[in-house]
Amino acid sequence: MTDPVASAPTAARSSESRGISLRSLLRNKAATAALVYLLLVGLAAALAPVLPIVSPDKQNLRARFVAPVSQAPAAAGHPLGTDQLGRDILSRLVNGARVSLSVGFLVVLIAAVFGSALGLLAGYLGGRVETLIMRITDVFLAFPFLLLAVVFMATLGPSLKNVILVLSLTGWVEYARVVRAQVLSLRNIEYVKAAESLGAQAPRLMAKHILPNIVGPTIVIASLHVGSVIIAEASLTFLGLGVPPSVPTWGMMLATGRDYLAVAWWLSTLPGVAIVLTVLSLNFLGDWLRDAIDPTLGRS
Amino acid sequence: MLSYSARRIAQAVLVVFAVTTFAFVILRAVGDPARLLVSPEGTMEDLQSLRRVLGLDVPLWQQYVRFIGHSFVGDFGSSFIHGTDAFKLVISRLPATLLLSGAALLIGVPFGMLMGVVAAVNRKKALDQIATFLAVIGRATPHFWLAIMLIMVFSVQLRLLPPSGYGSFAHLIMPAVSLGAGLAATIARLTRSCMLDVLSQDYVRTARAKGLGQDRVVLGHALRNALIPVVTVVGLQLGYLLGGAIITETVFAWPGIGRLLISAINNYDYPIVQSAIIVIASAFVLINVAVDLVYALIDPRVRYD
Repeated sequence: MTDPVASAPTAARSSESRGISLRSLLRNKAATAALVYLLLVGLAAALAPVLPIVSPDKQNLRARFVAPVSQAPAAAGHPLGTDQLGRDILSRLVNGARVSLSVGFLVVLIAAVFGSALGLLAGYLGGRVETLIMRITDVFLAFPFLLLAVVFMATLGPSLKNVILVLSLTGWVEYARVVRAQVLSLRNIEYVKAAESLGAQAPRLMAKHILPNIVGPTIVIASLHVGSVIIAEASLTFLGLGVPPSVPTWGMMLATGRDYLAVAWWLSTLPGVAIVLTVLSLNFLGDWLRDAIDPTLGRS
Repeated sequence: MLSYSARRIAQAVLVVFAVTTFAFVILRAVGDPARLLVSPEGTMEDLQSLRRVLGLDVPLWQQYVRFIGHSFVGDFGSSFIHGTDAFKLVISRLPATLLLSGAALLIGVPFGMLMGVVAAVNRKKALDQIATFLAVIGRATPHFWLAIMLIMVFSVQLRLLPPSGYGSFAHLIMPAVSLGAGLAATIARLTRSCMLDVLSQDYVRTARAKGLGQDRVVLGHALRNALIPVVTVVGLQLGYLLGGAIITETVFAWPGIGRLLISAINNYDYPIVQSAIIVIASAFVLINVAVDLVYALIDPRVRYD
């Protein structure tokens, strides 16, 4: 006879091994292409300082507004052209990826850990703690998220650190709610009750039985969250409330390109394409992860 | 139902109150508007008297008590910059924002529903794949970028539409399309999955077995039931449109609440910022309550106690 307590966590493990494998990823063409693209961008972003590209801030007033793939002599070394100050677009895009990706992943990491911890507390402790945490999430949800971020950024002032802080502060709510719901339903499942009646203490119960089962849903939310954080950062920066103009970011490139739409279409177009492709890839991967981890999670 | 409505409305009032307090505290936690408004040659006394005029010379809690007292009689202070009643100024910008959100809704909802239904009915065929692809792209596109691309093509290149401003139908087209496109993508995705759910139900099979044509089955039996979750999401999206309008209005110089809010933030014009937050939050909360109540009315299966 198998021990119900010992076999319990395998419920989570077996569903993971069923879905997440290289073979199942390769069967999904969109997710495979997305992963390849993200690895390329991520690698370029990580290695930007040592790549053989010009500094993103190096100006060259003799090579302003060079179009992408232009044959003009000034275009040498600028495959994607230059901006109004003669700065290299490719280099600025790669360095912008550094900001977008690190903001995206850092914010999601912070929000997921913080939100899940609060959700775990709320679901496990119940009572006043739960009421308090859930009322706070109600208030956050009752407010257009972008407005909240705008107000926060307006008071804190534009900086990379503040963008990460503000987007984390506004991003934890969904994790808390999902994890709490998950904990509530898990507490009534036989193997958890069995472990409890066998005398397992709260920390052990959490670590061995609850936590492995909330990892899946949390990863799914997180993977789809990264893309929306990247768009949110670009939005704040575009409004002049996000990352300061001295840092090359996709949002800032878009914003400054607006003034030169008639002379240089690529200034606003290329960073936008970068954002769309990146978010698209992240969403493809997230969709695949969701189907792989838990096919019963909603598709909406 | 009645007690449910009452509780929902009480909750809504509480949320607006919490949001207002929160905005009040955070706005005053940093920065001193008087310092920014006083002229560079101004003396220390000028600064002090300006603080007194703006009501910034007393401790924070006294400012808050004063603020709450005044807000009960509908007085949210005067704009530091314009000198006029802040709340009235915000309200005067409301029609432009509602026009934009409403137009975006009128574009996004029918188009999204059409795409979703067409995709579901032609499941796994070319039309489904095209619709799904468009929806996925729509979800990944920041709407301010779409706005800029529209300006570049239709204003700068083709010279068909005005790049910014307000006043005519032509001015409304691009802002509404850029704001409505993302909505269409969300609605399309949702309609498709709801339609697929419904199309596999027994009563749809019964309808087909009775010999009803495809149109009658899809429109008469399936769509009506698939609409229930879609209505909820449309209601919630209306609230997000109000938030998304902040950027769209800034891009197109559209004279709505969003643009007013951003310029007020840049000018440290707290009364305007506060009033704008209260108005947007109230609208958002009100819409959520309305959606919940409408939901209970249209779906007899929903019961509240």
